[in-house]
Amino acid sequence: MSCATGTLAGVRARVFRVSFTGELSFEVSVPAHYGEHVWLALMEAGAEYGIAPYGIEANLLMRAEKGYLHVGAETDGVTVPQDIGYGGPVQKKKSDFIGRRSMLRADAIRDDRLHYVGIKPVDKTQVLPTGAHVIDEEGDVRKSGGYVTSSYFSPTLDHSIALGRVREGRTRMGERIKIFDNGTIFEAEITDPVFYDPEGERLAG
Amino acid sequence: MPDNLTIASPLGTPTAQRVEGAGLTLTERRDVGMLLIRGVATNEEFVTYFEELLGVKPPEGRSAVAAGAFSIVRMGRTDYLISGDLEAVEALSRKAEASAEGVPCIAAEITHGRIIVDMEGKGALTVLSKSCGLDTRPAVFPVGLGTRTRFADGLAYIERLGEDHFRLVTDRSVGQYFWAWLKDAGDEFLT
Repeated sequence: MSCATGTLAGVRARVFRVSFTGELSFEVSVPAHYGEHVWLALMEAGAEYGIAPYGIEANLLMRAEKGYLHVGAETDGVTVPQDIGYGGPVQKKKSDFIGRRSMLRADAIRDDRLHYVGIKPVDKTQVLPTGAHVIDEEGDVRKSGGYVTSSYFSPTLDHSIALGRVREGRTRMGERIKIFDNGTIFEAEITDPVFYDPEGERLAG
Repeated sequence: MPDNLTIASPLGTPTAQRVEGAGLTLTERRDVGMLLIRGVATNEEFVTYFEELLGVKPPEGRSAVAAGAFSIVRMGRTDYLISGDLEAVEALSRKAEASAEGVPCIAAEITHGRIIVDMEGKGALTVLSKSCGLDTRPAVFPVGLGTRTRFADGLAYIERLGEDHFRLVTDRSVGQYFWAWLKDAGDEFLT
């Protein structure tokens, strides 16, 4: 991520190289009164490349394909960095930092916490309901072993995909699981959350 | 600035809005810019910065002070609002930001986050009394004084430019509501 200030379409601007979707992308900030002017100038300049506006649903779908978690969707108030795969780098920090104590609590370092993973339906046309529960079966007893946090049909992959928090999920890659929602059971596979462009080549353009 | 640059007002019209009646005129001011400078007037570095930028020391009173093409109002203990022609304020803002390094202050052009409306006429005081709780008697709210207050169901900065002439400033995000409120409250003077 980097930032530059300058003039864009004759208007002073800040341009950030950031990506919420995994695609090569830039965020442009200009004074509000000049927003429409800059929008029209960008659309005109980009016409020869097929520039097109896209909405929040497409934005969220693309970030899900890339496994970019959405704070508040893939996390909640009890999520700690190790749940989402960031535990290693943070725990290796030698100096103290705000949150360190919380990360090292007995509950936070349990092996059976809910891990952030990808969930791929066996039937590629089935889009799992967000909020549906992963079933952990112990004999005749069925318990919730996590849940689906985001779910889409990916036109790029021609397959439905989902993200979720699954108990000990990172140690169960490739495992077939059952997912329950409102009387219906779906079959799916636990996967890495990055479904598309795992090397991140698209970020470079 | 490019010649074809158009201002996208929160009111959504290509040109500035203006409504006029026998007792009231409401004029959207797209040609006015505003810069907010925040700093402590007891800090020598800040005072020097302010004086080099505007040619006057930070004003102490509550009334507007002229500084060349600009008007300065001390809105609060550390807040100074500088108003003037839009392009002049934009140029001043760039200068203010560039020279602020190392000075304990904040300089932020706020024009684009606001809608600015001038209200003038014999009905102006009545519209104010319908909209806010300000004491508008001349002895309490004289010409040149600016203050922030609750206005309708929002907040506004109000500056008295003349006996029956006020400048009203509120957030861009509620601009349409603000304009509709003013027209409704001033309806009896606009027909």
